[in-house]
Amino acid sequence: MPGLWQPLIKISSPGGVAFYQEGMLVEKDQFETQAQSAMERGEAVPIGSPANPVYLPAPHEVATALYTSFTTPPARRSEMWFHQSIWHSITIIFWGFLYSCLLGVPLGILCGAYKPVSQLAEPFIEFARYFPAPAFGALAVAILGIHDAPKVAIIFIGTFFQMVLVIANTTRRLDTRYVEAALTLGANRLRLLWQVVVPGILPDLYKDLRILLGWAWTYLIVAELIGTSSGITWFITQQARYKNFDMVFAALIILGLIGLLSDLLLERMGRRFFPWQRERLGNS
Amino acid sequence: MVTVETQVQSNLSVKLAFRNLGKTFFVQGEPKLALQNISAEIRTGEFVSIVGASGCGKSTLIRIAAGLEQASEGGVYVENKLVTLPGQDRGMVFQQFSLFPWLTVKENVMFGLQDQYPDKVRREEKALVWVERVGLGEFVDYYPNQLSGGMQQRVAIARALAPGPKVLLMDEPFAALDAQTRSRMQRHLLEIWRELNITVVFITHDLEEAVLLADKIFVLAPKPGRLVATLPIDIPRTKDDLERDKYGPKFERVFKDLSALLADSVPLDQ
Repeated sequence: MPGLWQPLIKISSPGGVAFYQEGMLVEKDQFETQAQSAMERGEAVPIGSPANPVYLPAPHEVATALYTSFTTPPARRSEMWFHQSIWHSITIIFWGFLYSCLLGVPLGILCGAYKPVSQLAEPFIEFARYFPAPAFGALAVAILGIHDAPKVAIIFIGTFFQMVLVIANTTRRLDTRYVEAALTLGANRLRLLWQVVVPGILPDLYKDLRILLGWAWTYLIVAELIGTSSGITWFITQQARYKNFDMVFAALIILGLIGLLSDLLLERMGRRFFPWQRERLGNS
Repeated sequence: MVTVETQVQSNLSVKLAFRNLGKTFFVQGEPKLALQNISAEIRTGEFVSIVGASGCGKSTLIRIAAGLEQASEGGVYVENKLVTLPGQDRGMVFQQFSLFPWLTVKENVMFGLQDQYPDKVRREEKALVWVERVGLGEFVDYYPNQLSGGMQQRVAIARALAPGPKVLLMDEPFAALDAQTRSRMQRHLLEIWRELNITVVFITHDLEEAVLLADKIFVLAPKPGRLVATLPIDIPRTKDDLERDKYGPKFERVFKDLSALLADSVPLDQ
């Protein structure tokens, strides 16, 4: 769009300026200085036209980048391919969320099922859940080193406290009629927990975990900036630095797709896990 | 096996008794009397209905009998033993469908058999017998939400009876069913009752249902919940000696008596 703002010059011919390339965007002041000095040196003057910076690449450019992001080899040997970055991010999420579930699910169920446990644990958890997970970054690096461990820890901190409270609440919402029916059928405390409470809340628990997994992804970006930057966050920041905004958007779309597809998959699996939730067979 | 003689003898004995039973709830710190000084006896093999206006505490009464709530005074005695906790000597069928939705019909019935039959195969056999007894043999592997309300309550009855309780407690079990299903279920229940010679305590707010089914009706009045009348039903049972003819003149008379009793029990400002 001509005439609007246009703080940059798009080079159409580099002329005598060594580091100019065709299609490059440079700032107006710098272009003028370089043109001046080229003229003074007696070399060809660079030619260009006013242009706007590109933050929002065209859809077809992003579509191309979706492909080229995977085919572009890493700039340096120590760096990762795009698919390796994605995989790395997924493993961080996996471990962080797994540890969170291993501790959070049992504790949440116990808090929901037994009042003394909840009275003991929940005040601390209510307090701790207001700690912003990213605030633990420096501490996590100091204790756990600069590689993956502190990242997993951030995912854990970001999801664990919420998980306990959400699952405790889900457990409390279990209809008392199931517990009462089990009691009249001679169930003791242990059987009540294992054969009534746990299976009774399982479908809702599964839904809770699906939502919490989404939160884990939001903490991923912070987690991956801690210590040595890694994974898909590293890819995004790196590409943004090079001003490859098409690649940035491609990475964002990939993130969205991973989230969407994994949730769809989990939802499908849920239907398998909980066959009793299928629709009733239309008889009255 | 119970011999004929002992059956006759035990028929005269008291199976379940309410003795000076009182219950006080605390609503926002204020004591509220829900049940006051209830004393009544139910004999072995008897079918007793408890009727009363809503809020008269009939559900609370049966929940105390089940051990799900504690009496504030007195208590419920089953075979002269004070009830303190839920136990397998009392089976309970709730108004709300309370089958475990994550278990199949068969597994639901197996739930209460775990102590008696630790072996899973034996437990399954036992459960199957009960599922077939309530006429749902072809639905053993269905989940509750695949069944109609009437079928679910049949399974609930099978589940409650499987552990072999001495008393079957039923808290408005057919209230959520449509009229046709309800009358089928009533007949079905009577068949089971006659077959097992089990003691039944049946709560209902439907007077016709009470007169159709019960040997004896306890009438509760509200505010506070108290026993105002015990009405033996002397109408002979017809149809294979089970249900009563609800179009006969005797039925109408008893029904009117009962309605009058119930109407008197409710204060006018209600």
